[in-house]
Amino acid sequence: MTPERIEELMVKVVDRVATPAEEEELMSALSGEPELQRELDAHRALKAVTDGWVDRLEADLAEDRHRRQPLTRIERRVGVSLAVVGTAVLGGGGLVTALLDESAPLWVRLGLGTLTAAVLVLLFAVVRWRLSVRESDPYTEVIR
Amino acid sequence: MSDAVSASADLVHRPGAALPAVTTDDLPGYRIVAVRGLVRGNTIRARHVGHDIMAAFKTLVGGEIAEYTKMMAEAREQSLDRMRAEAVARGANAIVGIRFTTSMIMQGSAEILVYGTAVVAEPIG
Repeated sequence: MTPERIEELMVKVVDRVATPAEEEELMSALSGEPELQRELDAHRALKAVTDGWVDRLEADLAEDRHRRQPLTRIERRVGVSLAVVGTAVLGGGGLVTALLDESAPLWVRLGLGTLTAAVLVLLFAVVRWRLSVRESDPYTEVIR
Repeated sequence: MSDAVSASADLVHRPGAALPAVTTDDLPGYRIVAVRGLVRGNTIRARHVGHDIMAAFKTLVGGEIAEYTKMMAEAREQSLDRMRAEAVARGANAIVGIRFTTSMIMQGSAEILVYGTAVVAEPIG
């Protein structure tokens, strides 16, 4: 067997893409060749070290897969929606109570009403802005 | 290249090969024939309150806060594009000596500033 063929088979075996026949072919060629066997072992050792980060990436992508699952999306949307509704109910209820409280001075009620109107207008403005630019914002596609 | 490497690198969203932008002070194989000056790009981005809520809960259990990873990545790519735009507007065809910096303007947002030197480079030989 030529040195080029041995090198080719070594690369395939180390990369775990060799067929059983190719692996058998290499092992036959290496039998009685301790120097070549040591070379193969060295390649495998190096591969084990450099492969580690790829294996970690595989595990890392589990986060992505989990995030894309329908159940995960539903959980998050339901949770956030409930949080928003709860905040709105608490804030709105407290505000209405304060506005209807006739024992409170008129200037307090007027101030609260004005502030509420201001918050609603500004909230509407940022939501409208975001909705108008969201489709044209290419950076929302960036993952990491 | 394995699928994991491709997915993790997210190269789809990282253009720029057309305008070399490097952290080194020179471009191997090229000769810098003109300096067009400092170019920079920056942005401050935030994610919506839903992501902030999720991020806050994730601090209870640990692990990567992907919501903010994505926010930083968006800010980084937008800043790079703005820097590239300035370089092109100055007539440069490459950027050398790029540096990134970040600061804290407001809670839950990412500010990225990227700067470098816009240059005109010609292939050697």
